[in-house]
Amino acid sequence: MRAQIGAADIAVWRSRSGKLAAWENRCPHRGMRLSHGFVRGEALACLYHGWHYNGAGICTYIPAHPDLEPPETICTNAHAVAEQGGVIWVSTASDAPAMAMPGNVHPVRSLTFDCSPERVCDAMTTLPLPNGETVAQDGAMALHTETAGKTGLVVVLQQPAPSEVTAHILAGADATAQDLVAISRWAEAVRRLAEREGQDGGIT
Amino acid sequence: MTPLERAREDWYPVEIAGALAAGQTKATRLLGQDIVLTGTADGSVTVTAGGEDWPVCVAFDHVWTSPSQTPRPLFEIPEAQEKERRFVPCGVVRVKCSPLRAVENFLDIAHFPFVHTDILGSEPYTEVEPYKVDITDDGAEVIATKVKFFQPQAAKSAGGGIVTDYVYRVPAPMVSILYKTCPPKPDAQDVITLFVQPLDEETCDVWPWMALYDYDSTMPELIQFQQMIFLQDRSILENQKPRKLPLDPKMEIPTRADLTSVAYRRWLKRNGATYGALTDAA
Repeated sequence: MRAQIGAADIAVWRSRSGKLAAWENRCPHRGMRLSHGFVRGEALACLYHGWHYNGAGICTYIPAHPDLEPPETICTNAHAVAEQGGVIWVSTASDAPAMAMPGNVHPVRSLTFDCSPERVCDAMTTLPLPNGETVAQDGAMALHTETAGKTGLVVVLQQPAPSEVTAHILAGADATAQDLVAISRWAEAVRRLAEREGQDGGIT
Repeated sequence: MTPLERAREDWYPVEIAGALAAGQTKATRLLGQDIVLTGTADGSVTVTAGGEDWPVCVAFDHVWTSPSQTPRPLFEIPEAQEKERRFVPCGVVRVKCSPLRAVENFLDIAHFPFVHTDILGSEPYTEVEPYKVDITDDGAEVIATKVKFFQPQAAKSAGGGIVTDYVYRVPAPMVSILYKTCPPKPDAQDVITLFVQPLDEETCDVWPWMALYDYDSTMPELIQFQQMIFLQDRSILENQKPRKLPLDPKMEIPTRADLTSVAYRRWLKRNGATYGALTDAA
């Protein structure tokens, strides 16, 4: 799939055996977005000419020359990738610290907002959850609720473009099906509020 | 001479001949400039840009114009004189890519099994055998010969898979002509061309045209076949980065199968035909 973080255009894929990789979204052959490619076992193949890249991003097969062993210098520009707390994390920096995410959470949904992250955070902290809890902000790009030491809700924000935010919403392990539906509806209400604020120019 | 000045010396297609009725106008763009086409009473077309009249000619079923009052001569396609062929203007496809990327993709056969799956190519028949690329003695054209590829359905008229022979000509920076095995007439070759109208450096209108020996298919069937192929190409062309064609060999790695593309890029550079190209490393 394609993921964007500001100007960084990234191809994220999972191999047949479950290994994750995140690369610059560009095949070194003809510049094609690798996110349009297809997974063949442990390799990602570019859609344009079918060049295979292994999990390390090294080109292993060029279909136009089936008998050729591609030089190892043909490789994608790989980024750091990790899976933690039900979320796939990518960093374009090689020395990024590991993410501090509570382990025992389950994904609810990812929702895209047409506004700034500040507006998303404002709306999320303004609108209480259906169970009455209020959401606390953790820095610019994350929010959570905690009651009696238990995580209720975790939200992490991704900013694909200056006025676009994708909120990845997760719930604590104790959440019932009803809770998940309630959280999902709450997120939609948050989006209506955040995007409306965007038009009015401020919270009222 | 700047790349734009060089590009302004060529002819470009802007409409299918006869498509505009007398008095009917069409606004379009060429090399970043707004132009207006107007159908005339005698079935011809005038082209104006900012009050200035541009030269017009009709060739290969298309209306061509140029910002220059003294453009380079339009290239020739001798097969256009062969009356027994069917001439098929295929309409227009807008593509958000450099006009040069559109031409380069047309010169490429290695993508057939992946982009035109089960039509112009299919796995496991992916190998590109060595072929030959030359620049004509006068330097005017890139020519690729002895290109061979296995195709499940080489043309609308093809009954089954065949090894197709290809010859490619690039007679102008934004034009490519291919000659390929004609399935119903093995001693002759179908002609398929790509005429590209550069709206600007990163957007183009592509006008495919064909001169075929196919007397069985209807015009809509022939056009639909070509449009289907080109729309598959568009899904690639709009996802290549950067949108302009990089001429620095370090930016995109070629293989032996890309000989035509390598020659095309060098020929563009040598001719200063770099409108739509990225000439520095990004």
